[in-house]
Amino acid sequence: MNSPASNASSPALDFQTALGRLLTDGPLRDRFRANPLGALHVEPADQAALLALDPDDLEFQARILLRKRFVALTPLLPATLASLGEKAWPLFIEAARPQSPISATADALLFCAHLSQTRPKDLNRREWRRLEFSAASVRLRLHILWSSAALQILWRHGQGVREWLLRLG
Amino acid sequence: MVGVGYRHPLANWIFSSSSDIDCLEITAEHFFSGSHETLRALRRDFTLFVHGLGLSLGTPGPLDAKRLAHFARVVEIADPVWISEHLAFTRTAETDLGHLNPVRPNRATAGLIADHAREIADHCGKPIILENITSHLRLDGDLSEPDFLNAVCTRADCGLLLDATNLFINSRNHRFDPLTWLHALDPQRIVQLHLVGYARQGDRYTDDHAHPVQDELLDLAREVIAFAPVRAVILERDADFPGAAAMADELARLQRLFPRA
Repeated sequence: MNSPASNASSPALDFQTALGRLLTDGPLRDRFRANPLGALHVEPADQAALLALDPDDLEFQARILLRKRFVALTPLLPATLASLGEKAWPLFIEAARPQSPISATADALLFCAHLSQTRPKDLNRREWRRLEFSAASVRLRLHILWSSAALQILWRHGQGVREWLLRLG
Repeated sequence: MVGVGYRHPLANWIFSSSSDIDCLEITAEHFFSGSHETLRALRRDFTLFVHGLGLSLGTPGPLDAKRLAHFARVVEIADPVWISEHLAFTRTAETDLGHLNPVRPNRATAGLIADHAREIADHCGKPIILENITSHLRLDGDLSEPDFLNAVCTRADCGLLLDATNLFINSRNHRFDPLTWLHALDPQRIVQLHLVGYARQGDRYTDDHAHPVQDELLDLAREVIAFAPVRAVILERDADFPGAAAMADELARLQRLFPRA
């Protein structure tokens, strides 16, 4: 069995920092379920409170946080989410459960990358490329969108992004 | 006073119903990046309260100065009767979790939250009240939740925004009597009520802000109003917005519960 001593090289966490990690890191929650004190090195005064956490309650609370992150994707990936319908939420859990939150844009890009591996037909590549461009710092980018036989032109001007779609053929 | 939480999808109904809505609660974060003209228009037509989501009073260390400045700017424009935040943390030293999470109910945390509450109130020049949250976690502490709320309110000399829906949900999920919980509070601290319908996920009750207020919640709100000198009730809704007629009906149900002066 692991013990706190096995993590002695890392500084002991206070309870709230440990809870924050548990709520945002799915694989850590899995390790916590198997061996609570082996998963996290907390200050001795906080060990009892950590051990008192119910893993099922922890997972449910974490899903509430994931759901907030999922809802924030709506304005960023409307076409992709519409295409996926009710399948979108379980797919987002797969993608985001191991990842701590950074921003809605980072979550959206993470989700797109996950879909490109697992359900490429449901991924709206035009939306994905536009989002990638918004998050990057380049001024101009061109993409061929094979599924819609079009050339996507993305151009940054001032604070905004302009997009043109030229049909090919 | 009986009013609603202002949300942009409800704007048309709200502006056309100003004679039926006593007050509005503004979510500060919704105005951090603009819409200040809307805020000024709301201020002209309504009594306002400003409600914060992300100041994370339960995080040790200083408040986030940038967020506090944004919050104070919204307060300055809205000129509310009071401001409110949550008994919760939304960030740790490492991560912004993006949502409300529970704090340990002990004296140290009560002191931390009370000090942060005083700092926000002083910075904004407005009285502050603090809201109980829903949580699927029950954290160990040396105080019961009502004693913890009393301790925070006493130390900060502030009021309580009692979310009756959160109380109901927690009482179902953690199997306690909500009335015993309620009667352990100092009634003089309860200033405002929040109400919104709950949802169910399997055997759990959840707070998705997407349903009309159920009868059990109205019964609980009635108990709170009989117990404490509640000054305002706010109907919340953040998703699956109904039409104007349904919103007006729901508001009327609350007004019957809490007669207008």
